Amino acid sequence: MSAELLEPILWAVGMALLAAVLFTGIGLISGTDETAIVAPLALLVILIGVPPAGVIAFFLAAIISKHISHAVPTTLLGIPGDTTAVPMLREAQLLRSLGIPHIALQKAISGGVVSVVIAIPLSILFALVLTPFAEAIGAAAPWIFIAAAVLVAYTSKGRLAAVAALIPFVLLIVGLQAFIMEQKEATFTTSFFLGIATGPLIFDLFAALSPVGRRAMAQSGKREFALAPDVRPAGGGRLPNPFKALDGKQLAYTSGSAAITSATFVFSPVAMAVLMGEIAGSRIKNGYHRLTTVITVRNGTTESTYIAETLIPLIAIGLPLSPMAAGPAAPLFNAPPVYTLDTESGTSSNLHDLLSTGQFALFSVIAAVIAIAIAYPFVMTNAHRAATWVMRSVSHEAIITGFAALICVICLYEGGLLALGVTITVGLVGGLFNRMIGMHAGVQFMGYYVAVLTVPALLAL
Amino acid sequence: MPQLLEVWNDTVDPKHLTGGIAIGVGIAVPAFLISDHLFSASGGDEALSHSYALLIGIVGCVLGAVIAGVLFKPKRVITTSAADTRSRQEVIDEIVEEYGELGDPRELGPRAQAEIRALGLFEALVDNYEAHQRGKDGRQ
Repeated sequence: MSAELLEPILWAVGMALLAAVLFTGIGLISGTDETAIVAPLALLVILIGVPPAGVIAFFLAAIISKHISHAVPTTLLGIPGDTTAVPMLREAQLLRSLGIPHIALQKAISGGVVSVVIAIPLSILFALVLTPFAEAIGAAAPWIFIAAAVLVAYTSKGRLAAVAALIPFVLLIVGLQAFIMEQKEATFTTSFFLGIATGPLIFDLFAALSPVGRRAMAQSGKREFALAPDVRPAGGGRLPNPFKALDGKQLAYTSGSAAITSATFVFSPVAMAVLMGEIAGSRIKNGYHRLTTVITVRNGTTESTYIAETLIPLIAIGLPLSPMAAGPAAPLFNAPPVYTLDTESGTSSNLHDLLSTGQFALFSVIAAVIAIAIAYPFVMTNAHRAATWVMRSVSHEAIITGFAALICVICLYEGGLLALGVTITVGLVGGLFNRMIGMHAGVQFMGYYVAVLTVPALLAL
Repeated sequence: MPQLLEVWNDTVDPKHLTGGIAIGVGIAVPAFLISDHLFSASGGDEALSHSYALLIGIVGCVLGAVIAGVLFKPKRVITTSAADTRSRQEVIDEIVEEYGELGDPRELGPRAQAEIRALGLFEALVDNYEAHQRGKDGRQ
């Protein structure tokens, strides 16, 4: 091995280890949405100057391990670990009432592991297939982004309302950018991303401050959570092999849906998880087998969509052309001053340009191996204890405290008080749109790119 | 008891929340601003010193969150539901009502059958399946 490769490999190993430990833990906390948590932390890693090998390994290890441990609150507590865990909830609850939550958990995480193993090579393959068209795609980017924004908005919970709300949202961003340009002769990126990603939190904090909002948010008492009993068979000290935890059919459906969703990188991960689960479920006659297979396939899809939607646009195009790339993975494409997207020329200087396809493959494999080696055994052996500890000891106030402070520090870093104002403005409006008309953060990220790519192209016509 | 609120999908005490945010921001923001000032005053690469200040700011965020975690306990009630005391068949019937039949485990492949046997559900599922079949035949 050449010495030039040794250093990036060490970075990849180190950052993947850090991410795997951190995100296996974060995944245990229910409701830790990927966009709100992964995007700011990935951004942080980039801004403090971690080299590209470390950044990609950190990001992939983060999503892979989070999508293993997010099955813990989903199956043991019956509350979704994050946004992509929502489609598994029904099967998880039914298996829980059947008294076998540990089977739900084991199937879900084994499906995740199998899916990672399939999605990484296939995503890289599909990226290579797409690479020859990258220039054409890049040239058409302003129009692709507006089409994608409308499509993603229409498929969100808000439907037509979310499509129509793109207009005020895009104008808000255009207006803020123009004001920032006038004041600072620069543009902001991070503070917009942060505002979009943490919008629901910012909106809730405003609502909690208002007497009117407080009335709507009032809780009559402490919330009750019923933790499923620890029913793992005693003496099961050996760690089950994820490939053996699934039977032939489950393996086949999980592999098949991982392969399909490695190619459909423009669709929403949640929608694909629902769809793949439905397809597999509709082909299985036996009810019990259907329950365990659907939860396997759905969690598998959360891994494969996240991997493909990150790697394909990153390797082939360099523009964030997938709901995932425009959301949780957004900083990998655009995190000034480290990674930049020049919106006028459509050129980029981000991981796409800094790593070769071979390097992407190498660091992805490192990240996957480390994430699986840490998250899978940990969840398999400690799920019940860990879920209990998180629910009993980690207060929600502490989590919000950490995020509120993080928002302030990152904004001050990017552009002082003006950047903080931008994040609060975008967060309040975005959070309002998110909560009230079902326009989720993915739509808003697309709206951001419409504002910086499509609007200038429209004006130049 | 204080009025609890639901903020960002979980329950908080508004006083504790305000206190927590004050602690977090009160530690992290000065940590960032002071270190940014000190690093840039000491000369050297500006971008790099800005990044180091960010790192210290983040340590401040983590510290603030840990302090808030120690001071304010979670507002959750955890009940570990004991294993269902109702009979197996009642539980399965309830699931069948919501989800549809769970089917005959004997029609599955050997691996899936072994899994169900190891869980101790095999007989229960067979009984349930047969009871439902009899029910159907009876109606016909």
